Amino acid sequence: MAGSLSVDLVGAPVRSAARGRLVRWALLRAGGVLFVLWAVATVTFFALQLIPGDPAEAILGGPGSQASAEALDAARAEYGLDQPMPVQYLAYLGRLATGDLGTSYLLRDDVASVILDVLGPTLLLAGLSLLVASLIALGLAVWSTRGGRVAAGLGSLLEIVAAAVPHFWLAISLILLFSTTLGWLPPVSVPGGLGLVLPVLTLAIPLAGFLGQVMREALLDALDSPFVLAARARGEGDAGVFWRHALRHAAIPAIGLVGWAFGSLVSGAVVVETIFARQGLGRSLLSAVQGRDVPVVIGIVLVVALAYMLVTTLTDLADRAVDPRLRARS
Amino acid sequence: MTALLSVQNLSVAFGGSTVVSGVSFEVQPGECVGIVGESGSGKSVTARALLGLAGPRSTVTADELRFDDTSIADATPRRLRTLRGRDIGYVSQGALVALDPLRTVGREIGDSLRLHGGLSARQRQERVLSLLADVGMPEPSLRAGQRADQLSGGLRQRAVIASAIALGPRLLIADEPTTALDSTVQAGILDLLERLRSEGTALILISHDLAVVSRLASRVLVMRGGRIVETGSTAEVLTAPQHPYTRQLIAAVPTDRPRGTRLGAPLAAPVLRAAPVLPATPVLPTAPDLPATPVGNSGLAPQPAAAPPATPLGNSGLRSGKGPDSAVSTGRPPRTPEFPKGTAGTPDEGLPGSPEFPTKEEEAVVVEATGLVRRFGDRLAVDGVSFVLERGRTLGVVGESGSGKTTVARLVLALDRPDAGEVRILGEPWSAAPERDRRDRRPLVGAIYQDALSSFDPRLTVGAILADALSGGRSRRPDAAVARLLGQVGLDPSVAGRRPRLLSGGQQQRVAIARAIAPRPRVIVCDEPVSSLDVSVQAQVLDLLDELQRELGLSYLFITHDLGVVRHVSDEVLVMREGRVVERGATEAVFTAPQHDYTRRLLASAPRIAAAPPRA
Amino acid sequence: MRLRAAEVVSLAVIAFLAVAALAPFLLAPGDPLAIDPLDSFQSPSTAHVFGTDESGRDIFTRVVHGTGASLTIGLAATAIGLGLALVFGLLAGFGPRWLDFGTTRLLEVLFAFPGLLFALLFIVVYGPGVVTSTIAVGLSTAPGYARIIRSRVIQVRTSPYLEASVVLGRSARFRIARHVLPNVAGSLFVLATLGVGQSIVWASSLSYLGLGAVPPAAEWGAMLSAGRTYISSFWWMTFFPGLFIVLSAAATTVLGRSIQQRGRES
Repeated sequence: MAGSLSVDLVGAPVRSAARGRLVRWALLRAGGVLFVLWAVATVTFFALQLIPGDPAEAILGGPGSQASAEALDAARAEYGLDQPMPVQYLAYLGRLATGDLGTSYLLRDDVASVILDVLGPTLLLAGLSLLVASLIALGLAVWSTRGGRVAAGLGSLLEIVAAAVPHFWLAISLILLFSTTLGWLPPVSVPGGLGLVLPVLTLAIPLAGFLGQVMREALLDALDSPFVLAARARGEGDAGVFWRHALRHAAIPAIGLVGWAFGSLVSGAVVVETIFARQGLGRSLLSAVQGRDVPVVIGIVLVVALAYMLVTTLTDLADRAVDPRLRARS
Repeated sequence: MTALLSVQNLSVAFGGSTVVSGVSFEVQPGECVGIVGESGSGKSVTARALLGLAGPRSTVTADELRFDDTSIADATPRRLRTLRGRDIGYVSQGALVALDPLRTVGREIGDSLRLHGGLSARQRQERVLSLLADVGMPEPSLRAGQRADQLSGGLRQRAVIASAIALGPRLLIADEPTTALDSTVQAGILDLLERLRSEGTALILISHDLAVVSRLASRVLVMRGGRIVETGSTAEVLTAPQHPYTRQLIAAVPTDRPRGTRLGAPLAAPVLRAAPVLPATPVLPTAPDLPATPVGNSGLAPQPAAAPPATPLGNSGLRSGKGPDSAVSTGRPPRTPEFPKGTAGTPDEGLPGSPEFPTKEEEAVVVEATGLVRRFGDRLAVDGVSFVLERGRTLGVVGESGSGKTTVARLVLALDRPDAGEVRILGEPWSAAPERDRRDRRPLVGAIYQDALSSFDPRLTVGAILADALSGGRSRRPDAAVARLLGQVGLDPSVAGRRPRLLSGGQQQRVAIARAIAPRPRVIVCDEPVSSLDVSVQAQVLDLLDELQRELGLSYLFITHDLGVVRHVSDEVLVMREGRVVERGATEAVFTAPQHDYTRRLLASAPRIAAAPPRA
Repeated sequence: MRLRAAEVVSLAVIAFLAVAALAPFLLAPGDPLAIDPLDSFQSPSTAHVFGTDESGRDIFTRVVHGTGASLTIGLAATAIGLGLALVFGLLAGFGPRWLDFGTTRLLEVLFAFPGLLFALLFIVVYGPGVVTSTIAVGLSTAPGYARIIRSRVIQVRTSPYLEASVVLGRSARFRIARHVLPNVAGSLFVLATLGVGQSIVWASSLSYLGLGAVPPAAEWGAMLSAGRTYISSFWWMTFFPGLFIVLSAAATTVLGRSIQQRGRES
């Protein structure tokens, strides 16, 4: 971390101190992540307990199933529902630790494998959307810093789009435009790239609004700052100012938002996958909620929480890479 | 010889308003020209316009704006970019923010080299290191890999200078290069600039500080409101200023001005002043009378304290003019008051003046601090500080940053608890007392700060703030008492309806002073109250504080880094360094015959307005 | 006070919505529940500006009459979210270190349920419906607000004017009541205005998924829910209620931001 000069300008003691700080940070982080995961698991466990009705009945097909007493007892034993609560809790935690998320009530399948089946498509969707959103946001932010009333208006427009347009409405509008009217794109997801375009756009546009607005403000701030003035006074041109100075400053708040963006994308996926009839985590979650298939719901929530913690840890690392001031503070 | 830089009738406008107009001057090779002005004078805009960096929304016009053989006004952007950094260097205000906080200093400096030269990466590295050594940066290889926030103020400024001179420009424009730096550090930077000048770099030195400019510049331009009001050689302008503004500016500088003399012209009496001030003292001489004595002293020792008139002149009457030897210099309070009863703190009729608190009749000691110690982690911020502040006197605390003076202020204000030692107010325990016992006596101790605006609740108007202070928090509705209070600090009563953020810096500080005196305190802790004010405004505020001290019998604990100010306002002074008091005594004694080595260095480093011109 | 174009437009929209909420018959005299099976699934025309739904009900009338219910849901969810957030934010900002630490950890955990997930979890437990979805949305937004309120409280508490107040001799109670709370309350109003739009959007998303309001209620969410199955063929059933949702959210957001900006400038 000694700057661009390849000559080893930083002495050894300083280097190992930096490494020590990184290790300490990593350990603290890991501890934090584990704590949150444990807390999430506990919250979901209690959510489980709060559900009205007899879970054994739900397993066997719902309150109207008129299952026999033996069948109910068997279901209880199978799912461990006859144990006292603390035991159930510990057993639950234990199972989680080994990666066993239980069995779906409705699908009679291992929750973990159900999730794994649908995880891929959703990750693909989310990843593409994030990429597209970032590109759009960056482009809009750069264009809007040119100044002028149009650009300022653009700033507010971005904000409104981000905050006020629900995914389902945007999806419908896009389908109306590109599918029904223009016929360019299919209204539901078909195998192959074309089927991804509308779902990705639906997720990316509101996100681009948020990211774009944040980046725009940061860019404007950076371009107005004294160090940019000093750079220009050295003879730096507009391009140099942007790439060497302003971009990095603009990236910092945007990176911070990625964690939140992930959450927004997952929520959005629930709607988007439903509308476009795509297989994915969101759609499975919705059917699980509609069918009160509790193990699946909880399984998905836990997986998302885990993913969220991973994403935020990655963004924290990225933050430290981009903003060296954070490394010193630890 | 032809001028290196030639400016004729330069004007800069932003939208509809003209910020700079009719500016003309020349800079010869190897010469230093100083531009002096207060905030809003247009000096910084002028500097940026010289580089074509006035900003995208600006309109720059000039009959001639020429550097060497290039016309800046007509130059293409590419030509300008070549000029910048290579032929003209720029050191901007505020070094902390002039360096990109995300990049290392080495990289920032290396940028100049990369933009203008065909050096390889390795050659650039070597040049960067030699540049850093050249500007006096200790441990250049270590520093090059650090970022701005890891360097102290002085080192940052050196780094900025290094990046500006990297390619050996013929002209260096330095905008406020030493503001906010400690005196000793400041002296080092000025030495560096002087050295560069003597090596042939022409220098445009911009500052609000006359002393700084006069040290280096052979010619001076005085700017005000976007125009040049006076120009000439440094000696001429400083010893025989023609323009009233220049005279006012010079008179307002407190350095070497005796205690109790007015720095600024008195304001027109505000409307609601209830009763005339009962002058126990003769009418004060106003500024224009003073220039008979040469301002500044070309480095000679200032005139001894015996020179001011023997009658107490406009202070609480404690300066009996006996001379430095008899000044109170130890920490022990005198048992009998040394002033004639009745002069100090004589209340004006109808104005809040008489202290409300029952005090022991002859209680001369207002604040007594004994052995104060305060530690932050393993850093000793205050280490065994003791002093005594008597009624109606001003104790100045001077020191550089990190000396612990602000911590001392906070201890006296009981915003912080000392780890050892104690503070007593009017003889009663103060720092040791629990807050609920102390709270009723808090009105005895007031405070004013460097940033007056942030000390006001942003939701309140001036009237609400003062009404709150006058009523002890019971009411926020302004009344006649608020109007009188405003008059006492020289503000028009109509100010009560406005919000502080719409007032000027000087007005904000007056409101802060009004708030501080409202509960009729005995002592006011002043923490750098004039450091962010323009010189002429500073003068008015210092005069106001002086007047109030006489009227109300206030004591001041005056904390500052500015030696000129502290000398002007204090009866006694404490010199602090790294948490300790290294010297104490009557102000004149300390300033004329400093005992401690550090004090001597400190005094030597403070730039003074020198009438003798530097070698051209 | 001079108004900018955007503010004028958003105020006009809000005024329109207010009339629609309080006196819908002024704008749409028809009966929102009137069925006309022969007229079902009509596309927008002069007779039915927004078209008709599966039971032949006029969509324009239903949208206008649904304004009140939908805005109420948005307001209620915001109130729940802000109310909770206020409690947590104040506790964390004012309380002793351990309370702040605990609250911050709690918020971290809640953030691990991003977006709609917490709402979905809530609905799994307590079942779908208008009430549960409103509460669910409120709970989901609470952590975000709490974090903002907490940092605002801390910012005010450590500001120089609070210290100046100490020097003047004001008690802790006075400082909190007369300095901290008023300065925190200012940001609350902006948060609320911005939040209403957000809550409307989220609540409507839940309804769209069938987990919120259900037909025949003339409420935007319910209309969305009904129109779900017919998207490709009868797009107007979902499009127009959605449009009103976007308008309400946009108008309140623009208003909220301009209040915020004016607060900064003045």
